[in-house]
Amino acid sequence: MSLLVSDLRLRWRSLLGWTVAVVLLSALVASFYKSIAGDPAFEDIYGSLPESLEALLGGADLASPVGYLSSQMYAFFMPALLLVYAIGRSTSTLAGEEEDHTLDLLLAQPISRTALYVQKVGGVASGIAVLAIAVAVPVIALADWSELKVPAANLWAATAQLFAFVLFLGMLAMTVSASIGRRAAGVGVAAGLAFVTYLLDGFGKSIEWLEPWRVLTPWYWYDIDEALSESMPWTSFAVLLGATLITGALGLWGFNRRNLRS
Amino acid sequence: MSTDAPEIVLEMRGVTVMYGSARGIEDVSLSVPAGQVTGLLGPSGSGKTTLLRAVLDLVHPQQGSIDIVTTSSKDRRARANVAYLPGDLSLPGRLTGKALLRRFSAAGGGLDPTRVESLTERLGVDLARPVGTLSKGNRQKVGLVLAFAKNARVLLLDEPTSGLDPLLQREFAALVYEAVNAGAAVVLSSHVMSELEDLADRVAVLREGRLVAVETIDQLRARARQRIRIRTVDANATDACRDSLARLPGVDAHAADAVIDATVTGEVDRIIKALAEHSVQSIESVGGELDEVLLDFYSDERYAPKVGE
Repeated sequence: MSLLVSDLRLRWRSLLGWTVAVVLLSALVASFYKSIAGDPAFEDIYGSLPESLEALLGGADLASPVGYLSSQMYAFFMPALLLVYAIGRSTSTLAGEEEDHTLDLLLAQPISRTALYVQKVGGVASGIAVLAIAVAVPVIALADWSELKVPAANLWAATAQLFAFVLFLGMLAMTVSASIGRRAAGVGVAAGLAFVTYLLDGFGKSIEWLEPWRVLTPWYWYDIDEALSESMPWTSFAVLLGATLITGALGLWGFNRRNLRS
Repeated sequence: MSTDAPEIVLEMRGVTVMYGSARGIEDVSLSVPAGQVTGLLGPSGSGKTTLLRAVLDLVHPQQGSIDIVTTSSKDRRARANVAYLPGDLSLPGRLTGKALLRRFSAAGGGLDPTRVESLTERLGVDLARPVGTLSKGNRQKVGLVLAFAKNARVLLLDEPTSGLDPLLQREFAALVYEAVNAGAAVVLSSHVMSELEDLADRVAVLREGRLVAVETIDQLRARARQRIRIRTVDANATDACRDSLARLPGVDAHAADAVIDATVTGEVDRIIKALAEHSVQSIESVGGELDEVLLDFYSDERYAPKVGE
């Protein structure tokens, strides 16, 4: 565990910067709700879009708190932002240190690669958790003033979904980069997959022959509407975490068997 | 202390590491005794670094086994007995020396705090500054603190003196002696003999990934070719001298005017005896380079790694 603490100490400034940025952005988007909710013109514009495009943009009605939170924050903007952090962080931690030649000396100490890997994953996961919480806190804090009122339980459910979703793609980036020893490989695969599956899931909502493929995308299991309007979608959460575990185990295997670059 | 043979603290048996199709090291067997400096010599790309990294399990051998003291190198605990100074030392630049030491302790580095303190003072390292802002020489000092503060049984030092100024090289030599006297085994790699000549007790020579010789420095000296310049009293004596030298095996002699330049492999005794019957004015040893022994190891077909084995 102590290396995890060392890693957090090494990177707390970066995480602090990200947290401040996410809090400010979330507060900004939340405070816009007040002006949009009272203006029917926005709804007219949204309603006039073709159905498929609307679905791709997150859909739902903009004037309700749930619809607004979903379309303006949770459906795309915040996951995309957190993915930038997660992919960058998880590829720089093992593959990045290997490329910077600083991993050698660390692994020359009596620590197993498995222990190192697990602590690195712990570092990435805790960073993502902090940012996922940072999205929700301003929404709750500003609720009375902004009139963007959603039950706290639903917001925490959305937070859990966001966390699990971003963690899965971050884990994928870590697995690929640590198994190859190249930062860029992890960034490319995870970012590429996030983008392609976003389109697949979005178009799958309105294009019939694509629909069955949606279950293969992480975006399908990132069930934000259910979390915000109903209750915690445990099945989706479990699927995302399960996929994360399987991906992580593959990465551990790949990292353990490799000859590290000097 | 008994007079028994020193304890073997690092034992490599038939170790082969391949990177894809490229060669790493092949079938290397080497016993490293405690209380000695073992030099690891070979040109760039001969496998020195790969050998050291195999001991640390940074690369996994496809064949063979490595034991450190009594623990297999595959077991993480084996590395509690090993200190390492990489040849191309890179440290996380944003960390201060202090934070760096904490980080390695967090990984189980087992640094001895009093040793850290005395080494820091002795080498004149500033541990308060981020290591990225230090000069190359000062970064290397931080690396030396990391390696020598561990009180390890086995020290693996990969081309440690590159980047050190002469004053620091002397300090480094003192550190190596102290470690060896305290019973550690030091493995020192280099691509030049002169770096090892004064420090190493034995030298293991690598050529194209294979160990071609493990010899003591004295054995290597005995192999070294020596150059001798002989001046004779007149031209007749010159010819006579050259003729009798030319008859000796392992001697190469060339004459010009009243000077003979001879190259001798092994002992010069034979030359002195052969010259005794001639009118010699002076004998001058032009010196023999240990480096030349290495050139033999690298170029001589007898030491060429056998292909297709």
